[in-house]
Amino acid sequence: MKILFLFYFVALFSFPEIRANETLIQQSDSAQTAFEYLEKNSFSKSRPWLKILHFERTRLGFLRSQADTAEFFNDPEGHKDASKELLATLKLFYSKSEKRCLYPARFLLLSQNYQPLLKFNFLEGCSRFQEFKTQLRAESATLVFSSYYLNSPASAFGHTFLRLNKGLHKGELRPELLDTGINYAAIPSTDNPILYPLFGLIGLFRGEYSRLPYYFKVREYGDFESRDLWEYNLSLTAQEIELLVAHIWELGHTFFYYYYLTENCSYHMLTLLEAAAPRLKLTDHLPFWIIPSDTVRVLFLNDNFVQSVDYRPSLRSQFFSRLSKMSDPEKDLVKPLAVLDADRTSLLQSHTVDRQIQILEASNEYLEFKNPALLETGKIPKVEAIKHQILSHRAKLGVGEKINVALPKEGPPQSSHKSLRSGLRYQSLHQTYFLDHRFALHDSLDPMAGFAPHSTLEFAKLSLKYEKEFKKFALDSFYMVSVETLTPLSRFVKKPSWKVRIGADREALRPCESCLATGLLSHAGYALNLNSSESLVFSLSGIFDFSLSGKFKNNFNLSLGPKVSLLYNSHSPLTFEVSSYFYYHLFLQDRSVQSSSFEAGLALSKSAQARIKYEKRGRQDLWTGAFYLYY
Amino acid sequence: MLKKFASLILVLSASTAMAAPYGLAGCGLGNLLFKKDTQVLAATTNGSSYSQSFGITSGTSNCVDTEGHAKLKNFIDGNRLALENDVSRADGETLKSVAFYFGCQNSESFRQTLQSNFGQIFSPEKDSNEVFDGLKQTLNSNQTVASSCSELG
Repeated sequence: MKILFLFYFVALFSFPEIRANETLIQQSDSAQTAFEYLEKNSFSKSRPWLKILHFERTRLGFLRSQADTAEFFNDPEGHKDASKELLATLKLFYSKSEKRCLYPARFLLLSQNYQPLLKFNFLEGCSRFQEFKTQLRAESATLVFSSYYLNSPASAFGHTFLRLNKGLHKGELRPELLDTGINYAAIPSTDNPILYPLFGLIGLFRGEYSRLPYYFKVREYGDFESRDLWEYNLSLTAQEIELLVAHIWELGHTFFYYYYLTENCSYHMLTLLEAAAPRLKLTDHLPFWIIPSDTVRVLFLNDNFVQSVDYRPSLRSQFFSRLSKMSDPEKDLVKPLAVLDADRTSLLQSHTVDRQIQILEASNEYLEFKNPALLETGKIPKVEAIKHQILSHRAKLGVGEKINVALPKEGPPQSSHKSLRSGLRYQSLHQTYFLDHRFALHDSLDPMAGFAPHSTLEFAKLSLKYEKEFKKFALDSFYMVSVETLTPLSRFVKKPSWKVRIGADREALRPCESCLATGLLSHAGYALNLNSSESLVFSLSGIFDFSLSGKFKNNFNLSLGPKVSLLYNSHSPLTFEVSSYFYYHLFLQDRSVQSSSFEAGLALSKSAQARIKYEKRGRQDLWTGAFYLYY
Repeated sequence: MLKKFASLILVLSASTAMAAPYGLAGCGLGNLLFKKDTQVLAATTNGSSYSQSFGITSGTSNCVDTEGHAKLKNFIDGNRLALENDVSRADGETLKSVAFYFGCQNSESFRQTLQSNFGQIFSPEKDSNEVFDGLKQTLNSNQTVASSCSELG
């Protein structure tokens, strides 16, 4: 017995760590001792603690939490003092009050760093969180990107959300559709068309996390909005997944003010991942503005974080893919089969069963693609009746060949060029140098990879110029937003192509001595594919250009005219556009002017492009050369 | 007295459940997409306002929990179109999910049994409950298939 005691004391004095721990455990273990232990290594300043509290540097350099409710914090100054919040959180855990159930992730993190906390059976009595955890049954996570939906402003840049996967059940993977989707979105408090975008931009909407079955998101994006889904399967440890689920629960009790351009859906998917796995560097790699495709790109900057990528084609992509494998006589049957009470047997009789199956499937897809309202049962009974007839006929034909939907030719979103673009441009007229800067995102001559083809989506585009001939500096143009989409006419899609641009410029085709005018430019017309690879598109449109300037005779002007253009976008590094337009100025001195141009872009690398442009404006010849960087 | 009261409550709640628009749980997942069309620019699914049932902490497992036999009706409600497509072609992810719910092997006979009874299971007037009943009945009618399903009931 005495020898044992001797051993004990010798050990105690020989191993200081043992002695320290002994002391810790022997003392009444309290929030204060835990706090002091953790703060010895400045735990409250560590990345894991700051990330779980959503602390980020503000514009003025202060560290503040982005969570916007007082309830998220246990200390009245918790939102700006991570150390005070640490002590207050520890006090909460030691007090064993029911409120602790709101912070399971913090508990997990703190107990990883301070072992004595493990003695608490923390989750006992936290039945709502237990239920949540059990329902989710999360084993892994996937970040899902739904591609661009240019018809709606908030979705124009794409959207990302998280899927928590349930893993195996009796040895087999559970169906993906039954996994859980975790989404972050703004809860709009108005539907006024002026206030809605304004509030979304300046942070007057609350943003909240929500959960929905993955199948709901697939129907919403893939079927209803015909947006492809890209699924990035992430590599997270079991401990990180546990922390992720616990943190989602914590975030469910708070909200963040939603800023469309910065603290948006994609941003908060990344902050969520960083809180669960602080080893990840995601938001660190992003510029001030957060674009969803950029958030996908930064996943790859962490070694082995993306295990694999899956492509889930939208209804539209499936339909067009199937169509591309059909002959003309087969395509001719798609619409007739989708007519109520059509005699499908005789329509299909000259085709083999296998081909009948493909044609019927195409007809069904065509019907669904044209009528997204089918998703609401009972809304369009006439169309439902037709669909039922098609499917009844299909069901009698047995099992068919499954089509493989090819990846879209523009490739996955992470292959896109970066969203910021700046460059230098030189124009022969008056020997002018331009400094061009664009915050986001893409125009139809930028390298096509990762973007919807033949589309332009630009935000805050600025051009400053220096005319060497006059030794004059000036603002050349500033566009708030510029959107253009060319939708080539096809047998099954007859949508118009359009463009809208809002801003101020010195449009050279408006003769007013280079005055700066503010206004709206829009094009509307139709486009056609000229080749089967769909890389060459011809379009004919009408121009409507309304602008205001004190220099105009009536202070405003309206210009109208036709435009014809040929656009080339493909995988090659070369893009070009040949276009010609005629402007008729209704209210200016010089009534009309004509311009024709050829502009080409050559990608020099993933992040650089050179451009050259020749324009014949009226009787003038203009040459322009430019060099752009994407970063 | 208490017994009468209790059974009255039961009847009342059952009737309200049946009056619920879609499925037993009344989540209306099939129509949730369209609740947004009251908002002008809310064709944006990014800025949508899902009902309270989808908050993280709401705890209404009925609308979000996807496990369990009872949740199959919600699933049918939210995947009606895709399910019809899959049954008609005897293939697909949505059909596979139904097999999962019933604890069945997603075998050829499972799929083909449903395919050959397409007309009995689906029709535009049927709601999710009736589709559910149709699926169950069809599967039960085939001995071999029914025996491979652990949760057919």
